[in-house]
Amino acid sequence: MRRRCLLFVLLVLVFCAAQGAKAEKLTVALSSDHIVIDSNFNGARLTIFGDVERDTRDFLYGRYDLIMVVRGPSGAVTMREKIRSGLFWLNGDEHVFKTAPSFLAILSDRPIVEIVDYGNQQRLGGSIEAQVARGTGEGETDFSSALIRIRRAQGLFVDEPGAITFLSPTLFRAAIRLPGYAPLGAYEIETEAFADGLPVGHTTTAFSVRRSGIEHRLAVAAKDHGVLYGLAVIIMALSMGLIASVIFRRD
Amino acid sequence: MQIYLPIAGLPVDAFVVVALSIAVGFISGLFGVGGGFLMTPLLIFLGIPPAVAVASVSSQIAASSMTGALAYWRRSAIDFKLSFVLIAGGVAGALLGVMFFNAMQRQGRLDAVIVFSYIFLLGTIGSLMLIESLRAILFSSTKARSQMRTGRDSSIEGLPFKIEFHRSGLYVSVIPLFLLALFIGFAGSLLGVGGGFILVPALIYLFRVPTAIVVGTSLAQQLITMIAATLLHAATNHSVDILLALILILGGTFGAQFGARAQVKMRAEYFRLLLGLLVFGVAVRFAGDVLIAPEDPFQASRTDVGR
Repeated sequence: MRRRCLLFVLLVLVFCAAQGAKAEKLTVALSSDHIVIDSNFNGARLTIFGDVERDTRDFLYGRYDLIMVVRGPSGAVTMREKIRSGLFWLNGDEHVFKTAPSFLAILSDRPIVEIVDYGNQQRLGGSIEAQVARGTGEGETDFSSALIRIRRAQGLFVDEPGAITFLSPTLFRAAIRLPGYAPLGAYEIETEAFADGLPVGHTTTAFSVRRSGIEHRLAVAAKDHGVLYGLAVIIMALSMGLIASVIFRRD
Repeated sequence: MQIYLPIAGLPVDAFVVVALSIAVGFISGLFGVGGGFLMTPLLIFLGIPPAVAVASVSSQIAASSMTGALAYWRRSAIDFKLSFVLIAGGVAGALLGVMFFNAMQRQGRLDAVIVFSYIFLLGTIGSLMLIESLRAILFSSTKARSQMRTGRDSSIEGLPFKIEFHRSGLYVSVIPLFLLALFIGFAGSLLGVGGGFILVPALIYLFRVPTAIVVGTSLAQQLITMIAATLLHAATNHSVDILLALILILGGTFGAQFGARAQVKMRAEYFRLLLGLLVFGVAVRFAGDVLIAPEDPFQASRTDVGR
């Protein structure tokens, strides 16, 4: 009976210790939870503030590290390869990724290889390549590396070690830059805190990118009421043509 | 200043687009052409999706044709009966053109079709204009002109369904007129061009429509055909960007007025030479796209995300 009791206490202690290592509370707040695209939209900057709440029972007192993965809505992407046929460069092979991430940002406070070991990197998908492979469910091919190259050039896939800065040992700030081409939809931010290479806290936040009232209404009208929208464009064009003919009348 | 185009789904520099549309409008006013054959390619070179460029320019051509057609209407320089036949052909052509456009878009071949059509169309017409104007400059211009006016083709004379067009003083079969307008409506709605630069010379040289009437009649055809093309594009492939159209119409209208008022003392042959160079230059620029090895052979296009 005594031994059983001791075992139980021991188990509880072990459990608490194991929990203790993961007991840091991670709080993250965004400067805004939705980004509105209006006619002046030329990209946006989203600031994330956060705090790692240190657990008093914690054995680990090293510095914290953070890795943040931002994922945009996923959707189908058609890849085409131009090949030379005779004189011309024409579209040749084609490949469709059914679920490719439309936006990816991997932020950290220092290079990920310095933060975690290989195993944790694998688990986290701490590279654009790993995130794309995870999103598409396909291995690395010419098409997937081309997709990454193109999206990187467009600023839609970014990895920025150093985008997260610690303002105090526990308080941090990160900046996400969304380019003008940022796709619409729901974005997910996965933040993971590490101490001495071990995961100690994890949290997920979200924000959305959407068109502002008038841009959204125009785009919806163009899609859902094509004929009416077309008539509106025609009426606009003809009345401007008419006005021009009155203003600039020469005879 | 960047503005966001709601249908194209991307930001563009508003000043660049305004400057471009004023410049193209100026050229169109100066040369008396529609300018679609310049505007659409320039928008494509700017990075606007070809489908959006073609569909949006259609509405700009409708606006500029409206201004032009009204001016000719006031001078009663339109043959309505003739333009009715041309409109019938043009609208039918626009319908076929938009159907072809949509089919190619579904297959992912639209961009290539547009590029090759531009190379072929502008290459042919540009080189014809260059040859004709150079011949006129190098030899006596009167001789060149008299060679052009050798009368109507005898193959046209023999066709049935002849109709009398009093205003133009024509008695001709409607079949070749309809087919000509059909081709122009097809090419126009596929490529975002009005087609005046084909229709006007064709009506003058093939059908001998009087020059006083030909431009107004052609503008009336362009107006209705481009209205149809805009409506069909908007209703089926949803590619008409109203904000882009608005900028193009504003810039194009002002540019055209300046162009039309610009007093350029230049012989007509040099005018045609310049226009020929312009048309040919656009074809060469497009040819470069398919002849020169691309920097990156891969292209990625989103097919179902929001934008």
